[in-house]
Amino acid sequence: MTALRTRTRRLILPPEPRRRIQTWAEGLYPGEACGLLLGREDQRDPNALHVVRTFLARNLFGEESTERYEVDPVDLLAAERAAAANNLQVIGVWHSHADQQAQPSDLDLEHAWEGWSYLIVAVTRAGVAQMRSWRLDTSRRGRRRFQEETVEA
Amino acid sequence: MKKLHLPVPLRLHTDGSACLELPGATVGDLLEAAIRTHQALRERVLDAAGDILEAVHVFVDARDIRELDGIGTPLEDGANVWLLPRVGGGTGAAA
Repeated sequence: MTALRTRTRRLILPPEPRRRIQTWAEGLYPGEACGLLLGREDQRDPNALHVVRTFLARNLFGEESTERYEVDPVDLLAAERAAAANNLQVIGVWHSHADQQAQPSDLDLEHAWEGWSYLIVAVTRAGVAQMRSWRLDTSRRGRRRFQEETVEA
Repeated sequence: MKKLHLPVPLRLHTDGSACLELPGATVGDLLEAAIRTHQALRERVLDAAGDILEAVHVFVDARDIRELDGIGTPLEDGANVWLLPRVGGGTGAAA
């Protein structure tokens, strides 16, 4: 008997966009840095997304905010336009957690949208410690929960 | 005709199109035209009173309709309308 298996989703984050996110997250520490991920679906694996470009966005709570972020919609619009012009999609959002784990908070869950990857960057005074990515899942009776996806180079 | 641009989270509730070409004299008319074809968009964009949800921004070209006339904002032929999710979170408690 063949068991049905749920395939883990994958976010492919090459070294250059990873380095840019790391630089922004460390540069704005202890503030919460945030931005957008532009990319495309893998042509062979529908469970894989490739990050091609990254955007830094303004945090409407201010650069000094250590506990909240909200992406300036003007920056999201710029990212959507850049994606459309380059045959890409805005595939997700990244933000940093200063001196916290790279796990989504209740606030992250409350604000999440299905279909996007949410890359969380744990950063301390010593630098970026970890990057983990999550996707909103409402498939179980509409209950909102995050499912982790792997982050690969 | 006007162009309604959809982000990935809203494309899940259409046929997957990134952009719909629709008629509409105002933003409200354009959204109703989209919802007629893709009814799942309604609860993700409009509240029960027919206003734009707090969780969504709508831009006409480069301007937020909250700075214009809301869903009554008139649209010129060829206008580009963007639906943008409100993107936020963080480690702190909800306000």
